[in-house]
Amino acid sequence: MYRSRFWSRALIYSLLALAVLIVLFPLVYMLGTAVKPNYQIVNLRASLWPSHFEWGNIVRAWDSAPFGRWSINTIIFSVGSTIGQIGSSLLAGYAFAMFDFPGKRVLFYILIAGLMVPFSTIIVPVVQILADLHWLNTYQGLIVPNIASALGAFLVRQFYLGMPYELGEAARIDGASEWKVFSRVYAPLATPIISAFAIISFLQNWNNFLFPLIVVNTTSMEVLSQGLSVFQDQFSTNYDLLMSAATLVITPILVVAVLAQRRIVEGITLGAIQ
Amino acid sequence: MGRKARNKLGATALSAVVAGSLVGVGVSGTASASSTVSFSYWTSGWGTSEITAIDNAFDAANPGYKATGTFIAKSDEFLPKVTAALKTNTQPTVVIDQQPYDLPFFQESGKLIPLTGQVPATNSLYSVIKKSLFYKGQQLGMALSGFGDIALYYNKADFAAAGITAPPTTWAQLAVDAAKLTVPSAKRWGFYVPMGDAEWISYDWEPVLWGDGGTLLNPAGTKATFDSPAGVKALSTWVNLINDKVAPAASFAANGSYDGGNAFESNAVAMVTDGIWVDFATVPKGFSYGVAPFPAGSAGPSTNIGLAVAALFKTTTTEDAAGLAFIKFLSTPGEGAYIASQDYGEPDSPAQVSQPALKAIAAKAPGYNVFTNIVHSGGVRPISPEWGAISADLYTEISDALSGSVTPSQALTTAAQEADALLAKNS
Amino acid sequence: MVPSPPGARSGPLAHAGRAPTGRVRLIRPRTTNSRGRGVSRSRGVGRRPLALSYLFIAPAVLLTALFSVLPLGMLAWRSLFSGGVFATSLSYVGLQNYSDALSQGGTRALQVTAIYTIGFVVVTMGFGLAIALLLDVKLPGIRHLRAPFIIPLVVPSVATALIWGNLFAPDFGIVNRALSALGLPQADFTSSPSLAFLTVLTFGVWQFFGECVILYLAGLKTIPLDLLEAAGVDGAGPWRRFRYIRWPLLRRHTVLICVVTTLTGLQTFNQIFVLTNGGPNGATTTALFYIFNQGFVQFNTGLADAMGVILFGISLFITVVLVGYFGRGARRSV
Repeated sequence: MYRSRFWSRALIYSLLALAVLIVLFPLVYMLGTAVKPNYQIVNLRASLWPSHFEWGNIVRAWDSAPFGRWSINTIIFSVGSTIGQIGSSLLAGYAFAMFDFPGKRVLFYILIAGLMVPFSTIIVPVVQILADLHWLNTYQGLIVPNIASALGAFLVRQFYLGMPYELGEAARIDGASEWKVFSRVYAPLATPIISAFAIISFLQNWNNFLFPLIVVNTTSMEVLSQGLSVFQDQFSTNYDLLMSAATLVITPILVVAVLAQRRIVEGITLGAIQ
Repeated sequence: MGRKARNKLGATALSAVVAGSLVGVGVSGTASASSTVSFSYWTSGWGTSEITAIDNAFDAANPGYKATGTFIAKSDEFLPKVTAALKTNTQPTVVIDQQPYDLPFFQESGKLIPLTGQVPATNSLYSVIKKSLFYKGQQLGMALSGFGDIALYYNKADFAAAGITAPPTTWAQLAVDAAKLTVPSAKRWGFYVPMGDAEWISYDWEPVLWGDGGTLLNPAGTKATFDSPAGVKALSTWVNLINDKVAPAASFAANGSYDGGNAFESNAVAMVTDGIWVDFATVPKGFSYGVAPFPAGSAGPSTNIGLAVAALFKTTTTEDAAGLAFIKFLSTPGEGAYIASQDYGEPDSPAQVSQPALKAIAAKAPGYNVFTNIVHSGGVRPISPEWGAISADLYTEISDALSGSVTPSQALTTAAQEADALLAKNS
Repeated sequence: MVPSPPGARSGPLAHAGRAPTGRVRLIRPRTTNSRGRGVSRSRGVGRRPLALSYLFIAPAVLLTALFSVLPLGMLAWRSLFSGGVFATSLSYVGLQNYSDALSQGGTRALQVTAIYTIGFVVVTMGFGLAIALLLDVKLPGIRHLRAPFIIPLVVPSVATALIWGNLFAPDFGIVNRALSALGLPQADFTSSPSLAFLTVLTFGVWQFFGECVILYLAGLKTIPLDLLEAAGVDGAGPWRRFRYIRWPLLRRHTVLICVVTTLTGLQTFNQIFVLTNGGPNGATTTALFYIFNQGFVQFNTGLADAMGVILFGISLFITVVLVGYFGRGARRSV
């Protein structure tokens, strides 16, 4: 019995190691490319290991464009959008799961329609709407249209559909309002799903390229994802600087993700022990 | 999440949005009541430091006007953005576009201001460039310097090893040389024929057509003429290189780049026709290459000129005047030379060639002068609104011919038929 | 610190998706609905705080309506006309744009999209579930292996595209080097339609399966441990525990992940743009790529709009089927 347990453990670890390798390899490649000299990147015969380390690439990449300003914009945009998405999804998902009201089904499908309409098909109408609101090139123009998240509401709704009704009974008996039942009883329980969603949503917002590109008209309001295009013109790409810039762009998210990953584990285990 | 934490988050979010909107209001309102007229322009081709330098130079040379440039990301997203802006009346005053055949499309919006007779520098442009700016008698934009053309890169070490003393001057000679330069054991071919479904393939093939005396469209612009015998000959040149196994049959396209520069720099091929950016790439020690004029066809030399144009949009009268002054400013020899030097591109008029900025660049890149000299024999793609679609059909068919699924004659005939249909529909 | 709600038990039935909580543990009698029907669909029948409901859903629904549904409506309206995107010369053509789109490459684009999406969903969800199951195992150190799987979601596609390009380069890319070492012919990933398709698919799967891992992991964590332990004590091996406990309890999550993955697959654009540009000869032109191509390369705005509406219609249909049909089972049990 010990032997089979050893082999099954070994199998699990090796499969996971393989998967992690597949997932990690491009990141390592990107970091390696960031410090390689350009000719080594383009040369297909060259070895994968940098011939010498050009740490200056990172500094040059940073200086090529107002990355500081763009970082601030990106932080405001991502954090604002993520918080908005969490809030709106929590409320809507709970209501769709726990309440009954006329038009519920239709309204739910309207909500999910957000997932079904790819942004690139509606660029022109969206710009028209934002222009009418005078929200082009503003922070609210970037954040507010992103606050509704069909994915988030969908996740929260599925989560609450599995929750028993009686958890709030005691509170209701005590005369608590529906709002109190939600905020005191049910909302805290959603931590695991909200944590998972928060990470996904933050990543998507941080890397969102098309939407800020369309909404923003001045360099001072641009976000980091547009910054990567600085190094790509129509025919040639400055790969070493591009990868350095890409490294700069994703470092904050990686840090946030690693830190948040621990929080997920806490949140999930706490929720399960319950 | 505890209620306190959520409340705090909510408050933070709210204040962020409020603060943001205040800042946003501040940023978006650029109209000033003072006497300087401020206008904005968008470009996808200039870096942020270049934009600042040009803006400052313009403001200094034109007191009373202030230019604010914005770098907009790559050209494929550029067009949807400009389109959306034109449709919602939020367009900038000037737009610097890397695709001149977008201009008739912008004209459909009714907001493009033709520059016919407005920019004197037009007359000092190379004539083939000047001609390409006109559509239905109107000059739709002004050509900017810093454009690219293509020449022949060759690997000197490979040439020496094969005993070839000078780079080929014609395609016939190139085929002969490529055979000598192909060394299968070293995984090297003589020449790279670009393959893939992308605009570069059309762009790279068109000068082969022109070199053999062919044309793309008839003078009236109503029929495709690239399926002429000259066209078939031109395409066969490429196909034969692959069939004779002196050019790789697999595409080296990577990451949206189809020019084959990576194949040349990896020494997977000894020759490639490419633009000037290869000349500015750092190469490993010991890698020696040369630049020669684009190979000539049976009718003479040629090359392809990839232009960037500045277009003027209707905003307010004062801003439009400022925008026009800006466009004129960009065409002055000094400024034109500066732009060319920043983009590592070519000067678009002879007057710029002698400017100090360009002399400095010529010193840095050995092949620069070749690129400058061959502009005389260059051609430019037609500025018709259907050109994007026609080119797409053309490069798809060329790719089919290169992969051997159709003959060159069939490929060009199909593409020409599709082109004729498009031209007929829209005329 | 998560507060413990009064009255909840920590046993397996407190959180299980199929727990018939309506019939057990009632503290006071349930209010039946007017039809006297069972509680299958009418969980909230006693709870109709109308104003609060609409208030709760207002931010999400209103914003979606304003920034997704309304633009879609404008798109659908414009698709009935022909004339440039600038609407300077519009003429009503009814459904002409739709039939044109379908006959001019649109049908092929939809076929490509269908094949791609099916492959994408099966492979991505399969990998996602497999990795999530592996990560769910209670072995030392596995907790720390969770973080890497978000990397594909994080790395910008330009970086990944470069790597893919170098990986699959002729002769010198690792894949081709391996092939020639094994004596196999070189694979040309851009000119061969099937290989180009596979390359794009692999890229897409790699980019997205991390999201499936995260979502499935969150789902797996809601499965009560007692159930699994009890089954283990009863002698059920890992496969049986999966088949009879985990998989059924994951049903809700599977439906959701399937919807999200399908919609992502239907909207594939980015990797095609950087890898193959829709080639060779349309073999990797998905519906969204077709829309972009028609709209901004060929300037056929009518066709682009029509295809946009068609794509939405298909997405809606699939979602209704998935949620309505497969999702219904989960609801009924409660």
